Amino acid sequence: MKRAGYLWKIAAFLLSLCLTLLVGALALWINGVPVGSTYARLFAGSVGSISGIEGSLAYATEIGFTALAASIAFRARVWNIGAEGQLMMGAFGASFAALFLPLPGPLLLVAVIICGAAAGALWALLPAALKIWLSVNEVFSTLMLNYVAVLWVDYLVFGPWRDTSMGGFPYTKGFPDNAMFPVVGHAEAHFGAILAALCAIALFILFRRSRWGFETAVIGYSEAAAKYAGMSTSRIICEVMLLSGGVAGLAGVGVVAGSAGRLYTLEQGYGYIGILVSWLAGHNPLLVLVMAAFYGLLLQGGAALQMAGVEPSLVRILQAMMILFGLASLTLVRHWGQTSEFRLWLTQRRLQFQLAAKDAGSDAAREFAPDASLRYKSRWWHGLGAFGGR
Amino acid sequence: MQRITDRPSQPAADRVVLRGITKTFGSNVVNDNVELTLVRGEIHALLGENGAGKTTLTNILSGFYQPDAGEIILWGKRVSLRSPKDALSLGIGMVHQEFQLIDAFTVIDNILLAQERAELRLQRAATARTLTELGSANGLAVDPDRFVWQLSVGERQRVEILKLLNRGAEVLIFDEPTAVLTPQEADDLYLALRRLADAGKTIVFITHKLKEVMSAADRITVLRRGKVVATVRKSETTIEQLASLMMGKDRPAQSVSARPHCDPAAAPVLQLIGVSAVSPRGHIGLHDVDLTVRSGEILGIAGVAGNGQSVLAELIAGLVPATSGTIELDGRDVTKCNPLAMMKAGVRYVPEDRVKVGLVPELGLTDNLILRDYRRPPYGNGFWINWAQAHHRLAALVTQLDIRTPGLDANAGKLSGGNQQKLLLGRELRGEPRLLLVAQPTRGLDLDACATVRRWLVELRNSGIGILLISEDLDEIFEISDSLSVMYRGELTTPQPTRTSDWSSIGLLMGGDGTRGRDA
Repeated sequence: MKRAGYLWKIAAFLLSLCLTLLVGALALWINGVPVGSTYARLFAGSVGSISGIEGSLAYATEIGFTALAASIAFRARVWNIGAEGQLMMGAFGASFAALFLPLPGPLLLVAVIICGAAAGALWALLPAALKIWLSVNEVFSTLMLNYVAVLWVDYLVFGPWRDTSMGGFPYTKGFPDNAMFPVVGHAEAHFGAILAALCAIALFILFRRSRWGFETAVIGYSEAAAKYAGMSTSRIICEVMLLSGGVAGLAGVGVVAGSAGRLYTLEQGYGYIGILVSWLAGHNPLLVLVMAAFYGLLLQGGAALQMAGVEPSLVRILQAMMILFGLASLTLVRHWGQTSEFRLWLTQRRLQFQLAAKDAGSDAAREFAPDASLRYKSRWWHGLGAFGGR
Repeated sequence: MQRITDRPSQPAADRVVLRGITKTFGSNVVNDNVELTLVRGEIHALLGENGAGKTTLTNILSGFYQPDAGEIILWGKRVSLRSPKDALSLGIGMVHQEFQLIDAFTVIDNILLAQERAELRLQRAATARTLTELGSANGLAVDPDRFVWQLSVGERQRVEILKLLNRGAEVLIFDEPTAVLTPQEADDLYLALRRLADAGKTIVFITHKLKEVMSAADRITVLRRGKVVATVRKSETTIEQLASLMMGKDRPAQSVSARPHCDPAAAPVLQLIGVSAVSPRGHIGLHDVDLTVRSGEILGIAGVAGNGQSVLAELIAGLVPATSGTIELDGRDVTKCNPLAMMKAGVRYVPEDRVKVGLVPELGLTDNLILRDYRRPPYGNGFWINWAQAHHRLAALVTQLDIRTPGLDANAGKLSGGNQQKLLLGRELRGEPRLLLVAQPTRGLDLDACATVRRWLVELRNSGIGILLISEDLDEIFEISDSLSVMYRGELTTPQPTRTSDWSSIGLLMGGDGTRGRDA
């Protein structure tokens, strides 16, 4: 039964991909951009070359962490939309360790990772405390703190931490080598990707097997039931926020200690993309990895297109369409899988169709199978129906 | 059994007649050749136990169901009601137990939403004026500009009534209108219903509460197992007669046999001494409550819903703090204990709201089985949960208690109410409780499931556990409790042995007075 659920999801994913390509082709064509060669370049830029794959992986790592952060929180219905700010603070914490802690060898990298995660976690603790003691809705507090964190990093790189030897650029000094993630591949992909995968697996096990995972699931579905079960909802909300913030902080660590090697005015938006990706993956950590990888391809392909001179806004439109179609088809699949009326309808159609097929040439056959191609399609569709749903 | 039928003398143009209504669901005959006559300007009560077919009958009258046989004659004309919309356009409207209002809208917007034909421009001001007039004329005043979420339950009900009046309803049907109301709100509702009836509306309400019938109705139709057993005028009947009509026999004094003598000197398990508490939802709290549950005793708490029973249950479960007084369990002070500590001390709790509190319907049966015991072996194992063991125990429990489920991996929401209750009870009885706290254990269950649950409770009592049974179902309390106490507006009467209590005096205590003054 479960596997059939995945079948549906894969079908939905392919459907949305096709729709995106189709509507995207239309958008390109209207704008007079050659469709075929643009798609070829998109493909080549993301998966068609080593550097393309590495670039995709770098994007995927960053999104993967923020999406995992979102999945931790959303599973427990704690609306932490502050992965953006926690990422910024994570980058800040990592940079602090890299620039100012005089630690030898690999110890420094360990300190960088810990400081980054801790900074992200502490940044999430503030909204958690406000929620628990003052009932402040975490949506507002986490969102507002995102802006604070972005401006804090800007302040550091334009002000006290600016490397004056770099001319006018808002950079800090470069990190020492032993504060950097080992590079995986040539240049862009780094150890963070492996860390993200390990994180996802650990979270998957934590969610499924541990007491804590059980507690967060119960809280997510019903706070009243959680209280009745003797759980301390404040404690769990607090822990959820800490863990979520910590994982988002790792995204920031990856940016500064993975590829850049210094703190700078970080590109914004990955925290919010993470929210989308987590929803697309149904807050399942392993699916989050898959979706993040796909989104990484999309971003890298988009960057390649921009370098090839395609209007950046067109690239954005393609990306946005992917998300829209993806969400829409997933919602549809979920709805179909759960709506008994639809299942009933499907069964009835299947029965009617079987009758019609038996009695080919009759009125019923003509009504339900006007031509061979449609009949083939219907059969394929019904096959899915037989497996599908829960 | 004699058939009493009161035949009204009004002309056909002032009558709504349901003739020969039969409705079956599967092999279950829910309404069997039902005859019902309503008269303009009367308040008509449909009285019967759970499953007597009251709700089905009103659903037929309001167009939700189509009868298998029979006809409806509205003001002298035969009508066929294919949908609630049909019924409403002919002036028949229903107020359901679950209000159909949008919380995020204001009162006026809800009224506009329910209007049959919305014009392009919403007539907000005009409708507000109509609403205020309708409200003040019928004792149903509600501020049109307030949001529904700001209203009390009673006020929401008024909005539902105003919705129907605004649509021009002449026949108003209420499904257990007072089940969710406080006694004061109920009094207000009955005043409003009386005014509506005086203004020529026809009011029908469903209930199983005898006292309510006697105070509010003009005529009463009693249903039993899908059949009409009598239609009587209030002035010509008594509570005792109605009770026996409804039950079909004279009430047995004790139906659970083998009742051991409860030792009045047995050790008290739970003691509440002068406890007061505040309702977290702003309802009636507890005021200076004293209570003792002894080992091997079922203490029944009777009362109309909303008199503080849920606070009492939550207080003992540790979910609501006491503002004063002491709670003792086996002589130990547990006043300040949280739910977890209470559970550890041996208080197991079957909450009133099975679906939202007792179980998590979206999670699987196994998750629900371990919901309260996931910390301890065999389920909890330090940091991890031993799912294999939990699945194993679930399989055993399902067989042992005969829980009917589509599968062991089903979600708890897929079970019927009776099976959910079995799962819940099965879970709460593990781990040798000292005190079992059960609130409305048989609400919404079919008769078989009710009998099973009650049998279990008695068996548990016989094994020496103290049971506090909170129930609105007076029959249940009389059937299985050893002593009983009545809760009214947050206060508890002195417990009395069930054996020597009589049904009608308890009914009166539930209404807040020990004399018959109000009914006579």
